[in-house]
Amino acid sequence: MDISFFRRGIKLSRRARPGKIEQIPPPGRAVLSLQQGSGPPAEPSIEIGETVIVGQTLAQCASGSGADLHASISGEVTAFEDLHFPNGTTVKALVIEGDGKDTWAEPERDDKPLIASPGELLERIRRGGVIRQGSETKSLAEVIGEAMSPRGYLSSTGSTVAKPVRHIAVRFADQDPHLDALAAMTETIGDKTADLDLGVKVLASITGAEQIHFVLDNKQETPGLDKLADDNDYAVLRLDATNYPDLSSPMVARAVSGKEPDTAFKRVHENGILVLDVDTVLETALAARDRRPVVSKLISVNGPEGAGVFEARLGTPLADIVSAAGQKKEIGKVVLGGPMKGIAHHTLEFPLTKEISGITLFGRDQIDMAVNDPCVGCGLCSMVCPIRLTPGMLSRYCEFSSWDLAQEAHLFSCIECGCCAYVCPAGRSMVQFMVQGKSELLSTRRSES
Amino acid sequence: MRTLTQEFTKGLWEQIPPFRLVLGLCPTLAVTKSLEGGWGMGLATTFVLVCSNILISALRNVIPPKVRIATFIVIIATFVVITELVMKAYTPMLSETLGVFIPLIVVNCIILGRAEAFASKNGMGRSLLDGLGIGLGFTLALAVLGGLRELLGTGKLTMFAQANLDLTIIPLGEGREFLFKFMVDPPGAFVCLGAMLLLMNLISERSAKAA
Amino acid sequence: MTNQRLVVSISPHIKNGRTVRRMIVTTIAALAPAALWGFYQFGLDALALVAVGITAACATEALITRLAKKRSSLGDGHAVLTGLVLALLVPAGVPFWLVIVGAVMAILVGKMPFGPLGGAPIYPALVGLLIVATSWPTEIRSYVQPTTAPVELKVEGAADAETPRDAVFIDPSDEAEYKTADLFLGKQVGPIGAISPLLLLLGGLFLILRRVARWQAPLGFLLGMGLAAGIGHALDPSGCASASFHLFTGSAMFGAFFLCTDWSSTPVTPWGMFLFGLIGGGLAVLLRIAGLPYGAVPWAIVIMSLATPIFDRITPTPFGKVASHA
Ligand code: SF4
Ligand code: SF4
Repeated sequence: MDISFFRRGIKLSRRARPGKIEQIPPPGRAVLSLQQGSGPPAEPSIEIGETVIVGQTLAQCASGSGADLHASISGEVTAFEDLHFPNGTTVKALVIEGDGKDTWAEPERDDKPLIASPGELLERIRRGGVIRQGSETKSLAEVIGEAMSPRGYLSSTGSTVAKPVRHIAVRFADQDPHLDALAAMTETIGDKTADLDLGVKVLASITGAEQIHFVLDNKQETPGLDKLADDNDYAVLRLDATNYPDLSSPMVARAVSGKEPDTAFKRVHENGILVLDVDTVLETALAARDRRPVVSKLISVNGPEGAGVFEARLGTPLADIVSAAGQKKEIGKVVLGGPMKGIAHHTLEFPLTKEISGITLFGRDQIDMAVNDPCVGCGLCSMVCPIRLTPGMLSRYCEFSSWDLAQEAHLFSCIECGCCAYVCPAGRSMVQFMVQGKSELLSTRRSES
Repeated sequence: MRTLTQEFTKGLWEQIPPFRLVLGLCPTLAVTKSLEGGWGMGLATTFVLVCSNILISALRNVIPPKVRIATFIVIIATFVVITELVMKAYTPMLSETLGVFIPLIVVNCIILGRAEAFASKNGMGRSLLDGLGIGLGFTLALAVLGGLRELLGTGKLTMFAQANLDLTIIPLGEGREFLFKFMVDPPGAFVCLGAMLLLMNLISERSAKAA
Repeated sequence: MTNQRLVVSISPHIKNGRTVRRMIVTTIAALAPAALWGFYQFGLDALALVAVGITAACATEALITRLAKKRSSLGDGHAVLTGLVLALLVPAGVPFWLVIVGAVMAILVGKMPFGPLGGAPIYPALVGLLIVATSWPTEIRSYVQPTTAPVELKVEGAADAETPRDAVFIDPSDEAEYKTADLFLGKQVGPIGAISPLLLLLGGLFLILRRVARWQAPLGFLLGMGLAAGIGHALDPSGCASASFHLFTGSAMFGAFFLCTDWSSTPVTPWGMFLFGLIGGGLAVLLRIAGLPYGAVPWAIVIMSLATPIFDRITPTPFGKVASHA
């Protein structure tokens, strides 16, 4: 049964063991969006016609926000292009025509990154273009900056005034049980324990976190991980990842700290808990030690005809990745991310960006259309809502534009996990109502202030 | 400006009180257990309405605006007392049926509403026609509602109990009092009122479309 | 794979496949054993009454949607459920026209004016039931002697409007004559579908396990009835039957599992549901002791339904918020 009496959230199936990670060769042409993750787009620092090599900086962010962008293939920058994002915005992107040589930049390696000052490390993370994955894709440096000082960014000297981050939790499985990228990475984590260790140490040194937690699915076998945790006094926490959304940031934060973070307006890291995915931590290690920027990405593909986990360069057209997964027949719906929280896109002619952690494909016959009948008041949604809201009521308030009532009923606490819509027998598009209500309220608030 | 005929007929359909103005609902729901109660209440109200309309219209330039409501109430109350006493004297059974709702005509919003909205702004002739139209409309509505409820509830139609003018439309078995008791219960009044509103809206929608 | 039309929609992109129709079909299935037991005990009359009730409800709904030029809502099965519940809550001896009027009223007054499914503030079948029960208080109590009764039951008492209590023969002083086990197994007089607490209990548990109904309201209701009857019995054994007697007679079990768990007319918050049931159960026992001749449980639930918006205000504290005692 997908609804439990004893715990909120829903039960989803999960593949027992993820497949091997397959490499996708560098594409002949890469399209790199200037915007990766939320936040302002980066400023291009090269001209059209320049030749670039892998890892070379293409665009820089203003300090304090965003992350740098680097070439993911070697070749010539030929054009600026408009990219239409699924959320409706249009962003400029750089186009690199590959030369097929795949020449890598060789930045200077720093073998003892932990001696560097926290400010310096933070700068390396930002210049390395590391993006925090998961629920909120944003420049990691920015996330840390915000987390450490809620009212401003890290002071320029790098010494922090307060150290509000007390826990760092590293997730080894995706929150959406249909995605396997992190789980696949964890299968081979044994070779990378040094990187992992370095990553968390760098992050701990920047944030001053006192305790590191490894959050694993209870079925994951983790060669080397337990030893690493033992040696360093990292706590290991095993959760049942088929309970969605137990791996989302607020739930993980509750699991590690025993306290429930307030989910309205505040981000989880402001409650002193920074929840990160394992790939972000590994990227951090590379950025801090090897000064190697993020140029490729693990991506999990789930489709009616093929599934798998792939490593592809940023800017690879999604269509290439999908056909590498074996999907040939016509599809009806493309979702960037997992089926529960992913965002549907109207085309596969879209390059891989840092925020895409998976692609879920649906055949034409598999599409679940929201029928949006009136709420019958069955109360299933109240049973599953992990935030203990009354989604049926909230959706009615939003349906009939009673925004104030919705706010009173804690609309802003909703984490848009989609559990309510998953169970709703009336087929209501609950998340739509929630998002609409929030944006209405925010826009009135903005126009009032 | 309406013609005089329109002034009269508007109360019969276009502004028929309980349905269109949705005024005077308490007597509408309370006394329509029988046809007799319906028309009795309606006529009593009509009398008060016509008289008070005429008097208020005649005095409209004399009454200081600041105390007009109090004055209206005094005028209305006078006629209500007259009605009550007359009914007690000549139609004791009807007066018994209507009970407290006769004195309560004083606070019937239709009467005060017409005084405020119409009689205090128009001449006596128009006020008379207005009061008569609205009053008869009210009577009609109450009588139909009362008749319907009584017929469905008990199978009878009490025309005028005092004169024994009752009709038994649907004969009931021995010892049975009610046909469909729900209809003469208070909730039945709401259901009937709702049904009639529905019907009226349907008809006017149809005619609006036809026009 | 270019130029194909892709569907775009908000997350989540998967559903668990629950539909209103499926949930209603499950409810009907859960009622089936109790209904079959009723048919067995009361014969073909009972079956015919149920058929008439369902037909009348469906016909009314079809007619109204047709007249109002709305999409037909027969498909979700709610009209069938309404007719079924109504017919199961009347004794097997009632005249056909009574069930027909009840079903028509249930749909006409109880359901359709409130718009699509989910608007009704009171369970439509109960609206129909109580309209006919107040209109024809004698006919509604036409109880019939069941096929397998352990002892001759005082069925004649049925037509006697003076007999107070939900089920005819409940006279606390008679209690000793009936074994609780017989009552529980369904050897008793009562409404067609409500005489077998055992089968209703099983059906209710099935509903709860299928997550069509939630457990709080039934638990609260049974607890409320049990407590109220227990206290009443302890205080005055001759005026109030024992808790088990109250729980196993009349439509107590039916009410707990199938009426208290309706969707739109009951609260959705956990404590709201529990209190709804608890107070409703207590109220039902009070109404029985006060001598309501018929339908103490339905009345109690209707009265509670009117208070549903109040119970719905008892919401749990959301994640991460500090409980406020305002
Ligand atoms: S209301 Fe929000 S938090 Fe609750 S289940 Fe729905 S989407 Fe999730
Ligand atoms: S699950 Fe859907 S139908 Fe049921 S209460 Fe929630 S919103 Fe309403």
